[in-house]
Amino acid sequence: MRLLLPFLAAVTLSAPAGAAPIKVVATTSSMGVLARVVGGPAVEVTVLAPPDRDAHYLIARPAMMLALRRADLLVAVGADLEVGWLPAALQSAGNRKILPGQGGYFEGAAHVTLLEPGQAADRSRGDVHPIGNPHFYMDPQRMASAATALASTLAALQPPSASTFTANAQAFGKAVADRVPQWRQRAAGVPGVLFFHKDGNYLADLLKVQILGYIEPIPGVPPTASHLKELVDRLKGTRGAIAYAVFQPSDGPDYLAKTLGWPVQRLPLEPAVDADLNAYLAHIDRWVAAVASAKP
Amino acid sequence: MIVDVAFLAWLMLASQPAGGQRLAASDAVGRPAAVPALRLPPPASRAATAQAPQEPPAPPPPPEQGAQASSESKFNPAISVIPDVEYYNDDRDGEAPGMISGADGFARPGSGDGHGEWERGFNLREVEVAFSAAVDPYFDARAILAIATDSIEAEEVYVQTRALAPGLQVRAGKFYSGIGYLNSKHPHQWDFVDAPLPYSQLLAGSLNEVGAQVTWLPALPVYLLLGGELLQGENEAIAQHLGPGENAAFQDLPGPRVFTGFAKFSPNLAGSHTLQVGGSVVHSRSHQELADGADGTEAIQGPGTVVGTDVVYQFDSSQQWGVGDLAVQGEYFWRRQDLAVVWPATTSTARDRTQDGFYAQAVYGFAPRWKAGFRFDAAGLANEVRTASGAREAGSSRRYTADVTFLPTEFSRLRLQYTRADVPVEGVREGANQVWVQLQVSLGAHGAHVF
Repeated sequence: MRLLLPFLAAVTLSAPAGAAPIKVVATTSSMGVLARVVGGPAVEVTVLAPPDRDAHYLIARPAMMLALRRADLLVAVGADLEVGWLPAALQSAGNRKILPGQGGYFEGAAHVTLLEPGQAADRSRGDVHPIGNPHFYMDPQRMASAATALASTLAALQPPSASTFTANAQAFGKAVADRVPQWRQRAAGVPGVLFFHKDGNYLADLLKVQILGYIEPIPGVPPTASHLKELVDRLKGTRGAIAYAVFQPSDGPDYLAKTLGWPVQRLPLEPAVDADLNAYLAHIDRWVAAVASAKP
Repeated sequence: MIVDVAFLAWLMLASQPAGGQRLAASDAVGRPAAVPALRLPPPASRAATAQAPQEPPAPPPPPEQGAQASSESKFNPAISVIPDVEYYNDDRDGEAPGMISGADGFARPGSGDGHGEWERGFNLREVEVAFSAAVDPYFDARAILAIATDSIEAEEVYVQTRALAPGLQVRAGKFYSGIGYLNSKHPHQWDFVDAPLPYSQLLAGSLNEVGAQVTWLPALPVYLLLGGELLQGENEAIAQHLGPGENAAFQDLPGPRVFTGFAKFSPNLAGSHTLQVGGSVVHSRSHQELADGADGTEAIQGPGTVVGTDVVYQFDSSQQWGVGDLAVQGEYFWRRQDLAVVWPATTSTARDRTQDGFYAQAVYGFAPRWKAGFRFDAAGLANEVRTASGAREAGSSRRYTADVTFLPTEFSRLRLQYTRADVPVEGVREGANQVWVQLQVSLGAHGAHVF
C-alpha cells in the first residue's frame, strides 16, 4: 500500500490548475529556444534530444515517453527529421493532446518554406526527405516565422497571454532582422562552403553563400575514399570553408582541409539544451564565422 | 485491489480534460500521423483564416467530363515489407535446431512460432508485411503478416486506442504480449538471428495470442508502465489447447485461458544512458499435451505459471553510425506447470514441471555501421519433473553465441552468427556448432520502434 500512495499523490497533482505553466516538450534544443523565447515564463520546457546528437537517429527512450505523457504541447522540427523515434515515443506516451492534428502538436517545418522540396522518395539516393530539407532551424529568419506560428498555438492553449506570446515572437523576429545584414556582410565574398550533410543549407541560403558539396556521398552514408577524391579533384586550387557538426566524424573534413588548404570548423548543430535567444544567436554567429573564415 | 482504487480515482480526475478535447479530436479525421509534414495549418491559424475577410470568389472553370476529386489513395496505410533470408549450416547434419528444442525436459510437439527452424542452405524465414494507419480519431490499427514460402500468418493484427484517457491504452486483436523485453520484438528487431533459449524453450518462441491488453503510464516523476492482458491461450509451451477432439480426457475449457501482468520501470538517467527493469507474470489455466510416458502416449493437462524479470541498459554514444553504442540486456524466466496425467488412468498422475531459463547479451558498435554481439543463454538450470514416485532431474542446455552485423543504412543489415550449443539429449551431453548468414532489409514506410 505504501508503494501505491505516490500514485494517488501524482494523480492529484496532475489535475489542471489555473495559472500552471504550459508543459512544453521540444524535440531539439533549437525547438526549445523557440518555446522558451515565445512562451517566456508561461512555459516549462523539456528537450528530448541531447544537443550533441544527430536528431535523425535517436532511440525512443522511456524518459521521452514520460516527458510526452505529461506534456501540454509538443514542439517538433518536423519534415520527418524525427520520424525514426518520435512517432514511437508518441504512441507509447498515450497523450492525445499532443498527437499530430491536435492543438498540442506543433511542427516548425509546417510553418516555413522548406528548401529542396519534392525530391524523389527513393532510398537509393540515401536518407532523403521528400517533403523538404528539415534543418530549417539553422536559418534564424525561418525560426522567426516558426516563432510567429508558435505564438498562435500557445495563445490557443493560454488565451490570456496571447498578446505576450505575439510580442515575444515579434521581438524574436526583430532581434534576427537586426543581425541579418551583419551576418550577410561578414559572409560577403565567401566563395563557397563545404558541409558534411545537408544540415547547413539554410544557413548558406541566409548568407547567400554557394554550397560547394557535401562530405557524405549521399545523405546518411559515410564518406568514401572515391567521393573524397572526387571533391579534391573538383575543388583543388579554389577557396572555401569546411563546417561540420560535432557528431560527424572528423577524418573526412580534416583530410579535405589539409589537402585543399581550407579552414575547417567542427561546431555543435544545436545550441545548448537550456539556450535562450542570445545563446541561439551566438550559436548562429559561430557558424557564420566558420563560413566567413573562407574569405581570402 | 488497491491498484483498482487508485486507478479509478485517477480515471475520474483524468476524464475531465479528456472530454474537453473531443471537439478538437474530430479535426483529425482522415489525417493520419504521417501527414503533418504536408504543412497543413495548425488548428489555431486555421481559425484565424476563417475570420479573415474573404476575397470575391473567382468564376468556376468549366466542368471536366467524368472528373473526380478523390484522395482515396492518400488514405492508404503506411506499408513496409521486410524480407528475412538466411543461409544456415551446422555440424549435426542439419539436426541441431531440433536437437536444441527437444533437449531433455523440453521435448514438445509442434513447432512454436516457426522463427527457430532452419534447413541447411538457404532459408526464407519470412517476409514481414506491415500495414499501419489511424482508423479514426479513436483507434490506430496495425496488421503484420508473416509470409513464408508455404504459409501466411497474421503475426500481429490489432487495434489500439489513441489515448482513451491520459496514459491509458487498450489494445485488442492478435499481438505479442508485453511480458519480458524481447517478447514484443519482431525478428527484425533482434540483435541475433534466433531467439534466446528462455523464449524458445519456455514460451515456444514467444507469447503471441489473440486477446486484449491494457497498459497504463501514470504521470509519475519516473517512468513506470503497468500492463495486463487477457489472452485466448494457444501457446504450445504453456497453454496448448487440444480439446476433447484430440483426447476425450482433455477438458474443453473456454478462453481466455491465459492472464498476464507486467511492469516496466526506468529511472531518469543522464542523457546518454537508459536503464529499464521489468517484471512479468503469466498464468495459464490449462495446458494440454500428448507426451511420451513410460507406457506409451500420455495425455497430460494442468495449469501453469511463468514469472520473469528483464534488465536492459543502453548507452547511446555521441558518435555517428553507432560507433561506441553499447546495449546490455538479460532476462530470466521461471516456469512451473502443475500437470497431471488424465489418460490413460494411472495411479501415479502428477507430472509437475519446474523449469527456467535466462540469457545475457551485449552488443557494441565497434566501427561505423558495424556491431558485434555476444550472448550466453541457458535453459533448464532448474529442470525437474516431479511425479508421485519422486523427482526426476534433467540437465541444462547452454549456448555461446557471437555475431557481427553490418548495417549499410538503417534499412538493411547483413549478419554473421556463430553458436556453440551444449544440450542434454536422453541423458547424454551433445554439442553442436551452428552458423548463419542473415540478410534483412526494410522497404517502404517502416514505422519507428519503441525502446
